[in-house]
Amino acid sequence: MPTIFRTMKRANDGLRVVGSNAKELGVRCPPNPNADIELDTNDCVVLNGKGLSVAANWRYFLAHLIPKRLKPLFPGAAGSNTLACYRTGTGVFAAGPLSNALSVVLKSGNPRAGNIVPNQGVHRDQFQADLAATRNQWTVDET
Amino acid sequence: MPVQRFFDNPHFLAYVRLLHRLHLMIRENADETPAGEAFREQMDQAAGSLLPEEVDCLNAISADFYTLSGAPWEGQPAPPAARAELQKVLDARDAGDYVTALDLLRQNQACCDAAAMAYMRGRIWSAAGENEIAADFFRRAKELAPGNCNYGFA
Repeated sequence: MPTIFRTMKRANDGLRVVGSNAKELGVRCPPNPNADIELDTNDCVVLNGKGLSVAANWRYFLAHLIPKRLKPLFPGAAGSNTLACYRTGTGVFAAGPLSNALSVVLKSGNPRAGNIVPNQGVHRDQFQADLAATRNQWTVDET
Repeated sequence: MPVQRFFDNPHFLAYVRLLHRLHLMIRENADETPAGEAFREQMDQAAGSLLPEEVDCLNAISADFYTLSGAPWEGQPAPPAARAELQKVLDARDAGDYVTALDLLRQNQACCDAAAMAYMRGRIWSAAGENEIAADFFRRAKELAPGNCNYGFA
């Protein structure tokens, strides 16, 4: 399974917040203007490479996504301190399966960034549930 | 690829303007709020499909923006060798290669006092047409060296 990073809000139990808002373990869906995915007329996820954004390392995120407390490690960090950098996987960052239902695809023109996408055109609720099922696999890694 | 690819990219420019505004919010302790969260979400949208090199450049610019407040570092008067390097900054700026100009400034930060650094950054951002950012760096230069008339007329 590829190593992937994502900055997300931390819940009271220390795990990441599951949901469909920004910086949560879940995708934003239409009609949210910042939707991460596209849906067909049956509310199924369109398989076009869009999904939950991830990167090969938290240092590859834009400054506003990296918590300010990491300034000693990353001088440009300008993200909210309510965020934490989470990691899952141990393999090389590359396109490949994340679970039976999810895969990582690389973003076009950016070999260090990708999206978590469904393996099939499932209903958006199923996709959210599949993402939520990975909740225990993510650990904070801000090294 | 043209040297101005970063500053020719509307996504890059949109993001850098929002990043500057985010730093204003951080300076005013107004970013850890619902409004700050909404603002950062707006930045997600502006990010578009930036190239990895553009992301690295923007993150370095974010570090530059932190120099607009707080205690200045202890800079040294520029030795002759460093002056030659600083001339390269001006040459890059005059050639419209603002990314290289900003990079060279960072590399020579230790050779330049904080006020001069802020002033030179202001000149680069001014040349790039980003007057709001330029004005902030000129303000900082004047704040750090109130007796320097040159900075007052930037």
